[in-house]
Amino acid sequence: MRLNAAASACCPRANDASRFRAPAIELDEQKGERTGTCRSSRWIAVRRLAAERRRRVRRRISGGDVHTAGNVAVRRPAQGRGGEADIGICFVTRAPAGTEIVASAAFPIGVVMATSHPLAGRAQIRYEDCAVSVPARAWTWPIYDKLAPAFADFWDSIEPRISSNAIRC
Amino acid sequence: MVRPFGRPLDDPAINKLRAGIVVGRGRALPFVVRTFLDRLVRKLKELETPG
Repeated sequence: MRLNAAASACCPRANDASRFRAPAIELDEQKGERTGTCRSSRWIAVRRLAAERRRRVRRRISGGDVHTAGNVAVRRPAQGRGGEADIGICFVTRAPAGTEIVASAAFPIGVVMATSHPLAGRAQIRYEDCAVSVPARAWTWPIYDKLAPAFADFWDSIEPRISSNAIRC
Repeated sequence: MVRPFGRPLDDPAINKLRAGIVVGRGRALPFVVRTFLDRLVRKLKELETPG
C-alpha cells in the first residue's frame, strides 16, 4: 500500500498524532526539568500506545517521569479530576465536569484501506459502503455512540477481515 | 514501507471531532507539568496550521 495525495484528509492526522511523542522525549532536554513528575493521560500516540493499551506504563525520562494510562478515552476526565493524571488528551465536545480544556484542534477520523480497495476511489466513505466492502477495523470509543449513532450501528454490524487497535502510518 | 490509504467518513458528526487537552479544574500544576503542557499545546495547535 502507499499513501497518495488523496489521502490528505485523514492520514496526515494520524501521522501528526504520533508527533505527540516528541514532547515527552524532549522533556529531558529542558533545563530545570530534570527532577519532577509529569503524568499524562493520552490516547493519542497512535503507534506507541498500541502496545500499551489497557495497562499502565511508567517511563523514566532523564529524571522526569511521564505517567501514561491506557487509551480508554472515557476515563480521561475522571483521571484528571482525581489527580491520577495531570494532563489528558482525548476527543472533546465540551469540558467534562471537573476539567477545563486548555486547547483543542480539529481531528477527524477516517477509513484506512489499501489503494486497491474498491472504496479507495470514493471521496468520502458511507457506512453502507463498508457493509459490502469491509475495510480494516480499528478501535472505537464510547464517545462515538453519542456523536454519531450511525457510526455505532455500523460498527456493530460489520464482520471485519482485520481487527486491530492500531494503525501504522 | 507499508502506508495506509485513507478517506474521510461521510458523517458530519465524526468530521467535526476535535482532540483536546484537558486538565483538572483548579488544580495547581507543578513546573514540570506546566512546561510539558505548554509544549503539548503548541504541538496540538500545529495540527491546524501544518507546515
